[in-house]
Amino acid sequence: MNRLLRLFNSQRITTNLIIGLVILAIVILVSLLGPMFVDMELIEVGAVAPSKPPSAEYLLGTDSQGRDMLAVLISAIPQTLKMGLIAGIVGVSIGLLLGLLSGFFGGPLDTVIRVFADSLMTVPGIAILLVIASNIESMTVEVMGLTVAALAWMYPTRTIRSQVLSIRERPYMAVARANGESELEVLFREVMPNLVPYVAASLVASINGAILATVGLESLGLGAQNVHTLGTTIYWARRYSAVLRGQWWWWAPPIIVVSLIFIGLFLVSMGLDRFANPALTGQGSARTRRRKNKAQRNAAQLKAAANHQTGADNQSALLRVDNLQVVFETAAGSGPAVDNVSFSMQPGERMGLVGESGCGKTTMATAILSLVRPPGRIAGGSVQLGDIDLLALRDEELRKMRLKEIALVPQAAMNSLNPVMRISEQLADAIRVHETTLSQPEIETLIRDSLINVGLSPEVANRYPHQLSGGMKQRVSIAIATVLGPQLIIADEPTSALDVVVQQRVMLTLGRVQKELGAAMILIGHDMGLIAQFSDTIGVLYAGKMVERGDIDTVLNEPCHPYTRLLIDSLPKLESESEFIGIPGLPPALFNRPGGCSFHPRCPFAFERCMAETPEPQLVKGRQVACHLYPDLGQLPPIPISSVVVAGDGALPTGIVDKTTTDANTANGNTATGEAQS
Amino acid sequence: MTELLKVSNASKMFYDGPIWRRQTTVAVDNISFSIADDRPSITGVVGESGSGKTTLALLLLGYAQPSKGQVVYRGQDLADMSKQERFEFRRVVQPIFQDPFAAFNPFYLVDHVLQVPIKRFNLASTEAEAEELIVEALQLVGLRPAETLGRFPHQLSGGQRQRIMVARALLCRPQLIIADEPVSMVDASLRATILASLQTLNRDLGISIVYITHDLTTAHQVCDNIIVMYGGQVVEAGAVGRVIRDPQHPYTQLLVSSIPLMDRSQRWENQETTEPTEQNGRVSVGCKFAPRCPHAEDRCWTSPPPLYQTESTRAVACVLQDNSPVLEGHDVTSVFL
Amino acid sequence: MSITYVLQRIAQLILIVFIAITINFILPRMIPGDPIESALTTKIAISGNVSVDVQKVAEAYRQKFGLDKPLWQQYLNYLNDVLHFEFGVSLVKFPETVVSQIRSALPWTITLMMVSTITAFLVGSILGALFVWPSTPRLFHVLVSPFMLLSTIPFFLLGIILLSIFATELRIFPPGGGFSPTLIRGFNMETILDILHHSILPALSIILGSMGAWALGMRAMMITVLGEDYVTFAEAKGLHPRRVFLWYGMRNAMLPQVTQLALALGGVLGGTVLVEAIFSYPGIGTLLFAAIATKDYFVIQGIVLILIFALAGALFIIDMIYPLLDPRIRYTD
Repeated sequence: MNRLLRLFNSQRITTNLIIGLVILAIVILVSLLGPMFVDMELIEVGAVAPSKPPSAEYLLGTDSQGRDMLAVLISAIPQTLKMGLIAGIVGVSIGLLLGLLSGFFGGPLDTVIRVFADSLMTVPGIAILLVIASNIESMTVEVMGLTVAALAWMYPTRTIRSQVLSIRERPYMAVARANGESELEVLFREVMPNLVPYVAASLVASINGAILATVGLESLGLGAQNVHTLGTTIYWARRYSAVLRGQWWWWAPPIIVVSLIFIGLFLVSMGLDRFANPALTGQGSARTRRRKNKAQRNAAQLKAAANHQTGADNQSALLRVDNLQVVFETAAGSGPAVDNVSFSMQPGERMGLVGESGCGKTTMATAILSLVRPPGRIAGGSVQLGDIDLLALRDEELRKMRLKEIALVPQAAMNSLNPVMRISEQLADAIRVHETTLSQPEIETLIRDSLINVGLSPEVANRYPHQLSGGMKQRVSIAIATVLGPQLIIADEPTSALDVVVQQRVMLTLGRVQKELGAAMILIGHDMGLIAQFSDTIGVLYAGKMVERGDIDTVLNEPCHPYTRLLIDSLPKLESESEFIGIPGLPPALFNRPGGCSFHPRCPFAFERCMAETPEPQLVKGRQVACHLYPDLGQLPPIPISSVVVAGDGALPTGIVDKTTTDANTANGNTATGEAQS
Repeated sequence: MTELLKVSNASKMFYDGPIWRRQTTVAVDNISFSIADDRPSITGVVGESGSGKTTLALLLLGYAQPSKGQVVYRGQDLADMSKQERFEFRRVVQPIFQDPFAAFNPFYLVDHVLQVPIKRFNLASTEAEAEELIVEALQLVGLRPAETLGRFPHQLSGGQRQRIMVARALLCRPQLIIADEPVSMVDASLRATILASLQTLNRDLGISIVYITHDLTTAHQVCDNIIVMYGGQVVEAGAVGRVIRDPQHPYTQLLVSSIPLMDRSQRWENQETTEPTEQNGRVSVGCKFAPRCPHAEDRCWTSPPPLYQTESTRAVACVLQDNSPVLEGHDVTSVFL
Repeated sequence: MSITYVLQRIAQLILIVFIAITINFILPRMIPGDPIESALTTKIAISGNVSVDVQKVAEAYRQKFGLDKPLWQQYLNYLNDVLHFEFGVSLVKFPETVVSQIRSALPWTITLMMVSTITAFLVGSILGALFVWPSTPRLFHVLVSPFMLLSTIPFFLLGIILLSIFATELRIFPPGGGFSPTLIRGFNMETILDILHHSILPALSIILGSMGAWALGMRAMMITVLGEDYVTFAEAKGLHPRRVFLWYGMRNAMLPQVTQLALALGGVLGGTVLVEAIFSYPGIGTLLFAAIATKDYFVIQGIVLILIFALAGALFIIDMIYPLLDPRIRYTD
């Protein structure tokens, strides 16, 4: 049972859900407790003086038939709710049964149920309901509820069927079977619990629909007879022209109560949506606007000016990143995804950026493009391209720099291209916004040339993304990124979703195009081999800090930072039979970074100073390293195997779980299937 | 040699479209190999997406039935097993899946996947014994029970989760584990530890492993023998060192030369090619690699080449090797170490 | 567009319509009581003529409409009639045919409901999308949120509220009907203005009442779409935010909404019975309601059939045009 409760625990509970439940609870309480305070005999015709506006004696006034409106209202609420509950519970029960049968077992049964449900959905339910309600003598609230359920069971059936279909394909079903569970066990133990949020949401929707339909019918004078419901109260008000006579106290209260019920149900269903649709989580916090405030911009400008004077020796650099800091701020905590990173790049340089997932590689790329999304925020530092400080630019100026000067080659995650636009339109879009003077034929020539340049046939321009293979799509992305000849290309794992053969071809093309343009390039990747093949220099990120940066051959031949060393050793190599060993533990969670050197909990060489003091980058053997072992140490000693082999993931400091890292990933636009991506 | 699991001439077809215009996709095309009962081995199945390697995994696990040929478990065809036999087979041949995130039912603590097999397969007589088995299995894969049990899947890292999956398979006391891309969704730095635990199971507990992957480097690292697949066909098979270090099939050669090596002295030649356009419209009914093959001859397009045994521990399905003898029975197991 | 695809959809359409009209045949027959007899009783009660032998007349009617035949024969006759759009005659306004009654009511419903449904769809979708767009001013959220909440109130109840405010209290708009009783209808400015004047309150209640649902649907879709890589890539291309919003965000988030719109347009005829009744608007809804009140059996059945055709037709049309909106959906199977 407490497992069931877990579904409804903690951060997924929203104010919507709570307010909705409170509103519903108040309505129910009024109807339950009302009879203790109000004389319920006053609902009889002629019990009180007719047509009196609200007063101390009759809180809600009286109707023209001499009934006390408060008493009428209190007796009406439970009838309407009862009808809604009957219709909802019966409808959802039918839906659950048929949806499970249909979705889980499939086959001809599924077809029959589906076709029947689809057909019934084309039958106008409200009209049929009208016919039935008008023909049944002495309609009761119960019969009404059952009738509504009979005409509405298709909706929950559809919802539940599609959920079962999706759950049926999840790998944990196969795991359950491998664990020896029978089909029935799989159904009841693996499928059913995960349906709970959907069943709850369906129930709310069904109750909502049922009350909507019946209140409608009743306010036309059809439906349950001989009892007061909210709908019939509205009907009598209309019947005796309360609206036209201005007797608002007659028609307004039932409408207000109905509206309260609907608002309550609506808020509850919004709240339940969070359980059913994880994509909605975190939206509340993401609403903080992405905008640099003026003070911050000024500070950045000042800093840039200062840098400009001191960095005179670094004049030739194309890109200069100084003390860049990107902070993620959520309700769960805040932490620097990129932490005081400084580096520079020469024109034409290819720089590889490596590190485990959650180390800030992608965040760094988005920060250079100023595309950090909430809850992330650039908290300080400067990014200078040539003489322009990108972080000091206004949004409009920055927008004009993108693609024209700094281009992104996105992750080949299959959907970097708009699925509903032709390739030519997506290229033209990019060209037109920056080159406003070009004529249509000139643009077309440019599109044609850029496609040919990345090894595609110009005919590809007329296709839609889904008609292209993964490799071709990535070539299109490269064509877009390079069409205006940018000075800097940022390639964020451009081939991570491609097969090795395609990867090689795409990378070779990207390399050639980049060389021809003379552009500098940052290649983000988790594949050290690819970085080794492709880059001139390398930067190693760990927990948002640049721990080692230098020439690729220098770093690969003799890594100085223990992390770089472990990273290289953890990869299997074809060239040698040497054992490959894993790095113990995990990168620290974003909101829970250890003090001192962030790597110390996983470092085989850590000593006291590492826990207390954050190492500053220093020049060691021709590269920059941020590690306390230097300058005292001449050479990194062999890593003691015992310290890394079995310790595994268990070597985490207790209390740190990678949940927050996952959250940050999600916030970052990545999916929660984090590790493989960065 | 007695066989634990034997695949003979298995093919798997998928059909698409209406009956009158049915399109057939051959996912697995006439494959034969077997896993020995008496000698624990690690067999690699390597291929790119669309090579049929995952379908092959489903056939091996009995989750799908071959359209032609058969999969036989200890002399018993998987297609006509009794309920009891199937139950036993399910225990002995265990899967590990690619996605360590989706392999857990989010509704339960991670304990759930470890407790169920013990109950279902009656592996422990008391609660305490069950507890002990779980702790033992977790320790074997390098996890600390105190830091794993009692948590929900989302509270653990991908690497931890995948190792729990290894522990789960281990609990069932299997003789064969079919691991379908077990490390492709795990951070590169953590792959080593998971593969190491698979190797431990093989070496110390005598469990055979079929390691299905797209990654030649890890296959090279952990496997004894390897089968390279392309378009559902076996193109090359044999001892892993021979196949990867000196590939003979043009496809294997292409695959190996595409690996980005860390060694900077072996840079890719700057030989850029374009994406192959859909095989110039021509479909091969013979060797599936013909449309992309630089050495393709006419005969490659018309009938699939047989497997030629080019050396004692290797077979290659390519007409370039037709001076070698044709492999008897098409079963690549005969060239395995 | 491949022929196979079209044929397949047509077959599907026919199957669904067939099952739906069969249900329409069965359902009323499951209701206890004799529709003809009760219709006649009502009619007689209204006319005050007590000398008629209800049983006898009913028998004559049954013979005339074939209701004395075995059920399967009735069913075949019914199918035959449906095929010929032959819905019979009105029992109450005999000898007026059902088709002629529907024909005079349909244009009222279609114009009012189509216009207000499409307006609600457009306004709601744009508001919903703006809700999740990062550069939307905070003021927008403050101003629009109450409207979203207002939308949870069913539109026929909104209609009553609007009536009491604008017709009873302020007397800006007429309290009901489709046109002034004194109006001599013709194709002139006066007629058009009068009809517009009468349609504003019912239209407003539908727009206000259904806008919120569209906004919510769009909001949820937009959240998903804004997380997609192509939106980030579009921003990285330096596109104008408006272009990203409309052509990369909304264009994609719209797709599932369009299916919903088809369902809503098909359901327009049925779903707005209540609004028409509240405003005594001379459309299909009022006709149906009147037919139910007088138990005019054939009119009811005729209207229900029209509603079935409308919904099935809308679904068919969306199946046909959807591939134009989403190139990923192919016309082939």
